Amino acid sequence: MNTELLKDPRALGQLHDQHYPAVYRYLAYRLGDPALSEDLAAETFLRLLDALRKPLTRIDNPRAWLLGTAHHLAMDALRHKYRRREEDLADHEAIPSHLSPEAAAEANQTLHQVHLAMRRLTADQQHVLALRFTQELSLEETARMMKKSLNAVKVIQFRALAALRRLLLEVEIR
Amino acid sequence: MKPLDFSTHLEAALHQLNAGEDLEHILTAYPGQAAELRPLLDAARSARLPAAAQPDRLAQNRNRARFLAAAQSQTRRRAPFSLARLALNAVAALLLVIVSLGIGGLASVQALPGDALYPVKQALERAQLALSSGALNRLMLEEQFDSRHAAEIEQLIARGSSGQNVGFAGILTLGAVDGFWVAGIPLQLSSELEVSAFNLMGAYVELEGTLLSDGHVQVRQLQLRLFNIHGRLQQIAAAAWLVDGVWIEIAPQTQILRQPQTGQLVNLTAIQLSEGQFLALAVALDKAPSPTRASATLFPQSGEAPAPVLSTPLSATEEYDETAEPRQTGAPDDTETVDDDKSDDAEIETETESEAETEIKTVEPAETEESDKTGTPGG
Repeated sequence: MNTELLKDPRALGQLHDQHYPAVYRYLAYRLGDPALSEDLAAETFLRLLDALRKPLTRIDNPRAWLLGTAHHLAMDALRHKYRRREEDLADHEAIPSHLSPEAAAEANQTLHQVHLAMRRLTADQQHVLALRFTQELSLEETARMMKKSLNAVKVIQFRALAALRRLLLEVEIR
Repeated sequence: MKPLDFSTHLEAALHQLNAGEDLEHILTAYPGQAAELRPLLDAARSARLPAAAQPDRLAQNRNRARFLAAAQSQTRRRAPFSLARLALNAVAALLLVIVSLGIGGLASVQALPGDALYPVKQALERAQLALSSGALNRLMLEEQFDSRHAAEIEQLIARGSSGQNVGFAGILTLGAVDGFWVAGIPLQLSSELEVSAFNLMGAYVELEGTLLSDGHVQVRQLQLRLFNIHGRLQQIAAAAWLVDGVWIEIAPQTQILRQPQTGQLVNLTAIQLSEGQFLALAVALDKAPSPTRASATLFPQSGEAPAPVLSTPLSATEEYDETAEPRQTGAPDDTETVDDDKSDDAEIETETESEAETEIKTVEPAETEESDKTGTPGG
């Protein structure tokens, strides 16, 4: 991929359509906010254009690059959500429409708690869970994407699940 | 049981969970590790819940249009802005008006593409554009000319004419069975241009081509119409600016080199999303401020416009922080980042997360400024 790609709308369109769903799913998983996820997905692709514009840039794996950028954008956005304490995530959760109002409310509450708990994980832990569960990557693929060793990713995943379990239990006890 | 072996079992169990197998059924396959696996798999089951979100198709199409528009504006090369050249063009346009009116201006009003007087009509249009003042007036004039050009082609089609070179603009639409249309005129596209057309669908485009005997226009060139709007910034609202009477949407992706104040002269590169709806791609302050000059100008992208600047976007932090708080570093102030005891796994511990980071070699994804500050690993 290089600056030539910028002059090829067909290739750019294909690149966008191929990766947009993955980028959106990743961001929606991290943020739990469809509108913000769409905004940040757009920003992710604009940053790709910016990177392509640099003559010496080589992006061998666009998917990894896009998801890495989405990860950084998600972290920034989450910091600001924390600062704006009035942010009510429950309003944003995407719940299947076939559920009854009661079931939808319960599912919404559960999802809300999972999102809140996940945000207390470290950046890498959130990244690993998002890659594993939204992209369905294997441990090896996740390690390649994060440019970490297989064992490091195993450690991160183990700790992420253990911490998530503990955080969710804390919520239940309260 | 060594921790590494346990992680292998965990991975296998997670795989089964992802495949939709029941948790209790999975645990029966690992009787020795069931007690340890259960809480982790339970957490994994919860962690899978938010993964069901799917992108909205319309949002995806909208984003593709903006993505391609941004790419196109980046690759366009235009001459640097020259006040002298602009003045020269204005004088030339004025002369053209005088000459045109003297020779056959009135007769040219009825001219159609291919007629001998049609170039005079085009020159008159350019002169009108050059002499009109105010962004709103110019946009209305542009719209009027675009409608006129489409009507001219319809007249040619009605006459059964063909072979004329034509150029017009409008919203690109796709018929249910009969291909692409712009301003009510059916298009004949090469396979390559058809791909571009799919990408530009719904956008305001300009095109050049040849009229065919079957009433289609064989398109040679198809591109997004970019507008350079030059004028005084009158009002700044949440997501739009008023520039000389024209509201222009400002998106998070709009490149703003320096935030202007109301009353300043600005140059905007914009696209038309739909009728009367403009979206700014790039904004720059006018480098030659002239407080006494009240008139604004708007000209098509092919004119002598300042180049749109699409450089590194603002960080997400800047874009979403409407309250413009000072930046903070480190973990969020009201949350606790959880990282389990790192001494819990001697064998795995020999290769820590930080050691693994040393493997990073190639081009990194774009990091935001805050991510840099907090040392978030490059993904």
